[in-house]
Amino acid sequence: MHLLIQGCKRNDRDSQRLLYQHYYSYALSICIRYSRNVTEAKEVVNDGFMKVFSKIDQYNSDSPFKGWLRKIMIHASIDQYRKELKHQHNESLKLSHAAFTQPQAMDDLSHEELIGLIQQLSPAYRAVFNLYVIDGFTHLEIGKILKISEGTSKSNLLKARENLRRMLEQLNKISYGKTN
Amino acid sequence: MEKLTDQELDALFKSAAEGINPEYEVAEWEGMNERLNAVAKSPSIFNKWILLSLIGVIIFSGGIWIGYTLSNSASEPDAKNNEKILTESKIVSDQRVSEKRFSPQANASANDAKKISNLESRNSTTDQIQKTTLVEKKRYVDDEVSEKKDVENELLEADQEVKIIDLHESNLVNVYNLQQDTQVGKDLFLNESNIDSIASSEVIVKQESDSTDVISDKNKDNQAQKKSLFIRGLASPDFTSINFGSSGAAGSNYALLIEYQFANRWWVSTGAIRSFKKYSSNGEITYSGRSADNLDGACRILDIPLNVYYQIKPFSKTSFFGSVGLSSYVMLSEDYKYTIYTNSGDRVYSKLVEKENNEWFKVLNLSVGIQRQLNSRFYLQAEPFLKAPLAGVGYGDVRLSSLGVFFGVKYKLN
Repeated sequence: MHLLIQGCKRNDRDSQRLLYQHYYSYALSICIRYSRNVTEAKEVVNDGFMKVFSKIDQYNSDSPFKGWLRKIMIHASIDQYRKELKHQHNESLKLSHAAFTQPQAMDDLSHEELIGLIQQLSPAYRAVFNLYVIDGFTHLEIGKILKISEGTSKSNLLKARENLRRMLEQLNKISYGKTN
Repeated sequence: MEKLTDQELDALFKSAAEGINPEYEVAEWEGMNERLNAVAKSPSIFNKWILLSLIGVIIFSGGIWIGYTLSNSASEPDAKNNEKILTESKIVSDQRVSEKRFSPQANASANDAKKISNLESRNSTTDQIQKTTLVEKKRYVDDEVSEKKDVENELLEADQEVKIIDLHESNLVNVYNLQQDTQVGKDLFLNESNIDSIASSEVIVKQESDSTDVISDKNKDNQAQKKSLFIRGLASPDFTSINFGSSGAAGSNYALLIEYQFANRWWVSTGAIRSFKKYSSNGEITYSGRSADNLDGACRILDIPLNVYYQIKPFSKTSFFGSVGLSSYVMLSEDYKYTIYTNSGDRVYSKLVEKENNEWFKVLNLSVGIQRQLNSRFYLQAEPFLKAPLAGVGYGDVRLSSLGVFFGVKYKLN
């Protein structure tokens, strides 16, 4: 890994390719939660890797590379969230959901379905839910990242959970999970 | 059905997030590789330098213009111009009076002046007056030779009046008066027996003529350097492509621009161009972070140009000009359709973005043109132009280049 990172610092394309291949799935697993669909998530992953390659000089080799990459992917996702807020009223992406639901795209369908529910949340709820529940940020930190108040962050989290519960009920999965 | 607690719900989705493991596709690296290549070919720092250089050139030109304007206003204020004209007139007048006072041939009378005046009124232009033969003038002078001193006094008064009129009348009248007065003086210097005096008066005429020429030149300069405001209405076809590739169907531009001429050959222009651009790319391009095989775009843009113009032959009826400047795009609407070829068929994505992106000074404007003056206020213009991208614009971050020819009318406001 150290050699790969050194190669990336020299802008060596092979090193960049190998690093990309190695961490692509991990990066996509982060970005897919913040995005509306796989297509958008892949765009965000590439945006994130562009940042990785352009700022790799800033990476401190004492800390795990995976953690540094995770932070960059989350921030790339938040950048996309901001764009999404701007464009959400006028945008229509066709076939994106179809691409997501291709069986070969995901190994675990239940995980896929659950992530699909997160993707159906509104951008604001989705971002807060991901940051707080899955990525472990506090409401104070979320407020700073998303430029909203702490109270708004808490409120969005509450509504996100309510929406997810309602969606789960609609899928009739909860009772099935409880009884088994 | 029992509801999940917050902890249960969180744990459920957290496990899903940790358990998801999307597969890597080789095609994904190809898109990434293209992006890296694009950055390597046109690093953003290069564009920034171009932009900074252009801004520097504009500021530098502006500085030169301000300095030029200030130095002109300091050295040639209107009051000083008038004073100079007065001085020149006074010198000429004094010379003439001096000649009259001390010349033995200064034998004109008031009656002479009257007759000459009548003659001058018959001859409406100075040229006609000058064509009057010296023999005729001598005959007028021969008729009466009395009241020399009275005439001298009258002439002195007349000169003073002329000077005052010179200061207040228009430049053309000023020149005309001087020439007429010269003729009067010249006639009065004539004597029946001394033809030499004609020669001396011709010298005075020459001196005065030189003075009036100087004044006339100054007036012309002042008139030419007058700062003017113009309004332009233009229309053009628009051929837009991505990075100077093959262009799609023709779009259109409609422009309403204001021009300010700050020097004989220089002016600045700004305003608004309502632009409809159509473009497509069959080559593989990177669009919004994705590698797309085909892209069709149609954008409505409000183009706000800021250009500096330089004119060749500014005083000719037909003149040529060139311009350089920058444009800002207010993206009113962007309609993109991009296609990605896959083994399972083509995937077409569409995206409509309205009034979301403003791109400031990201387009370089270059143009040359020809201008034909119809009358004192109207001009016809034809202006081929090129709009070169300094950076990607719009949601698709596409580097739009445009070609076309503006045709229009220019109207002088002041």
